[in-house]
Amino acid sequence: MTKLLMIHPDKCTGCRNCSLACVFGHEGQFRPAGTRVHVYTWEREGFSVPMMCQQCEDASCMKVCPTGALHRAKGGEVVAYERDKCIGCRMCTMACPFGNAVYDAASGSVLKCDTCGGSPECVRFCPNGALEFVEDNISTRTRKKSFAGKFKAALKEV
Amino acid sequence: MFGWSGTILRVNLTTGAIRKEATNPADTAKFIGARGLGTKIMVDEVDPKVDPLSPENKLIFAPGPFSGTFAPSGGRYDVVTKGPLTGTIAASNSGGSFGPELKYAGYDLLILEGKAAKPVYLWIKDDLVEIRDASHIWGNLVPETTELLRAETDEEAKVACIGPAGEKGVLFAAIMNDMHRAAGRSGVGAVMGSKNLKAVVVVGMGAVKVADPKGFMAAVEKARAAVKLHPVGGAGLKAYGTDVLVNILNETGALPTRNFQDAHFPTANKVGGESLSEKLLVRPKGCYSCVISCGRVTKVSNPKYMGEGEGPEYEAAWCMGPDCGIDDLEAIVKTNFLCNEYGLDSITLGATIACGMDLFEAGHVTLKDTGGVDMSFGNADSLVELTRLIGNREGIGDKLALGSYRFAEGYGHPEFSMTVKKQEMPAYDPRGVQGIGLEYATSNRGGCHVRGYTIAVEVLGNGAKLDPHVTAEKPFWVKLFQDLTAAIDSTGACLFGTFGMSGEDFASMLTTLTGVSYTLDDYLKAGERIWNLERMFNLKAGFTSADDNLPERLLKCPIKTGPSKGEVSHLADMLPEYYQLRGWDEHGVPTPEKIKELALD
Amino acid sequence: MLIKFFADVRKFTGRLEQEWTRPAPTLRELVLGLAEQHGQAFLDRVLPGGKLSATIIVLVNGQSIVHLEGLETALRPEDTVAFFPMIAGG
Repeated sequence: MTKLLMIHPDKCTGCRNCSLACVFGHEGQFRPAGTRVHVYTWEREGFSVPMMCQQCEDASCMKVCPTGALHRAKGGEVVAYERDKCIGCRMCTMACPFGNAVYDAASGSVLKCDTCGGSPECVRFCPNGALEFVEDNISTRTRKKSFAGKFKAALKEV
Repeated sequence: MFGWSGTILRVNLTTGAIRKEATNPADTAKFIGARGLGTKIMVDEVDPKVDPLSPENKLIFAPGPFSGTFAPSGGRYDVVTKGPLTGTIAASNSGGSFGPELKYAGYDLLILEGKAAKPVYLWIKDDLVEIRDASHIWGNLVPETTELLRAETDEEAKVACIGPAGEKGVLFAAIMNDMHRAAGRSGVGAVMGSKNLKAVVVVGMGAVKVADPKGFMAAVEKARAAVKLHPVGGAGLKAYGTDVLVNILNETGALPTRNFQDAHFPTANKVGGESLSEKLLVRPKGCYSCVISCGRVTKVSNPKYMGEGEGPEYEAAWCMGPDCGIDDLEAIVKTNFLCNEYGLDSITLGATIACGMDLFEAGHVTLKDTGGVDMSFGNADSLVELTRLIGNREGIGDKLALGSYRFAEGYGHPEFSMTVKKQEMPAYDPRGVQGIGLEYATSNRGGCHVRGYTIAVEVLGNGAKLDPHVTAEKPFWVKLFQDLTAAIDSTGACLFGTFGMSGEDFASMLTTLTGVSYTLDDYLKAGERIWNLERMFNLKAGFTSADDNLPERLLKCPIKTGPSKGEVSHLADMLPEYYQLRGWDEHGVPTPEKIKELALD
Repeated sequence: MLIKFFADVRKFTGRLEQEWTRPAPTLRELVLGLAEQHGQAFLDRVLPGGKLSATIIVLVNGQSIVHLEGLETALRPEDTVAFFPMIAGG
């Protein structure tokens, strides 16, 4: 059973508690350049989306990594990053189609979501239910049920 | 330093000199940050009699120690200056993301001095500070300005800017940040315009450090849980926004109607938060680190009032609605969008138009004066048109741009202006709610509710449940709210955290964050100190106890209809006791003992 | 008697307001009568365990019942009674 980090942008209010929790959890200080969760807001429309590593099964970043710094342990839930093996070539940042691997010059390392060892701080801190850490077999349950609820409301009126 | 960034950035727009100074720990211990710290600089460096629109006035962008952390909801900052609308010390508070970004760039305060020879903007990226030409963006509305400046600096930069209103010196021009958030009141935008400063653009790559990370996290978790459990902070504000207040104020009979001619508006429900959520709300929005998300992303599809953006808050819905005798929600929402685009204080905008409507119906302002704009109460089209005229200072808008007091005075009838110290009173009628009248009369920036928000206990039953119609105990509560609010403002925190959080929560988060010990007493004392500091600036600026007053209409003319029919404000029964509790003499001047007690000597 | 419902209290009654013509000499009896009409959810929200919810505000002719006689406040047919959840703003 694998757990997945699901995002629900329709619930995101752009508060960035996730980014703050992420960097504080990893560094004990509030340094936004050090977050692995980035929130993008379209100001005119007021729409926000949180983005983080998707822990791809067939990860492009792992494929291009020359040292194996990015790797997945057998049966592992996440694409793990070993700082000691990293040579800072940043090929991973170019290979990731989502831009979710980020190079942080200040710390000289690649930043990507590691689910905080299986207890993601971003999920814990989101006040709006826009982030979920949920078993793979029910990962889309919230979204599906929320839409299914619209049928219930519509039919109730009739 | 922990919590604070440790550096003050000083930019002289006349000479182009850019200096960095160390933040003084003695000052932060006493005045915390944001409103308090900015006011301390004003008191030390600016003559209280200065002309607010002259180069000698200073404009200070001031985040607090919480700004940039996840202390709930801690992303706020103040703009501190001498306000051109009132002539008092002004500290306008705003949310969004701008304040935290200044902290990440490494600054506790940004002090702007002098005046640029031509339109400029300030570009800050950590240590890099540049004064850049802004002639190509001068004249632009706030959304376009924000997008243009991000395109030429950094797409994710945070922008605080003025619109045409600030450029043209509308006395209640606002400074907007993150496109939709406002440092709204007292004309801080006009000060920025008077310095030829179009915008401040910031990117911060640094960090806000924490003295005791474990202790801070524990304090934050406790505070967050308290807010989430509270019905207001946890669910109510997110569902309905602050506009939800329309109906309870109306049912209490204290919803000022038609420029305070009355205090009950039969169709109020059409403009309340329930209607807003149902009809025009797209989704809620939260400021940086907010756990509440009271912001409203809204959209009007009706071609007549088409637009998208954020708001309105309760105050805006009230002053553009019942205060003008208007119940067309779409027109109100459109007007609020225009305020954000032009950079105008929504409260003074609506209340000034309401005053104009009152004068128009009384025959003191004619169609000839207005250039053909029908300024009758209830005319929603005129509300929208007048807002544009004010934002551009055209036609009658040029005179309305001075605020209701100077406008009414210009037509020989200042008594029609519902202001205190020339700033328009907000959405609570002091005849129906006695304590808030005392707050209006004594607030250091003129007609203001938010700094002594006794509505919480007089109407909303949040904590204590006081009878709004009595004056007993009100001086105590007004002082308490004023002191606590001053401390919270100075911390960089949002007041809505108080729905759930206690003073102790604020104090313990501040202590664990900064490593400087604040007990609840210390925290309240700091608030009282800041309040007195502001008072002393105003006294030197020429204000006296005669200015701690309310318009005649509220003292003498009873409410005409509704549940509070027949009531007037009994300010005189509260003011002397208030002065006593404050430790001031009968002229409202802090005594030498009080000044010494607060270490303000 | 005119009864008004605001904010999320409306969710329990499905309406903004209603006329109440049945006898209701006190507020308590009015609430019980309304619960009969609107269901258990309304009763649980307003009168949990027989006591007025700490997060409900009731105004009778604009006055909070906290400053009248609470649930025992006497009501007359010409009164207006308004139910609010605890709300706030600025």
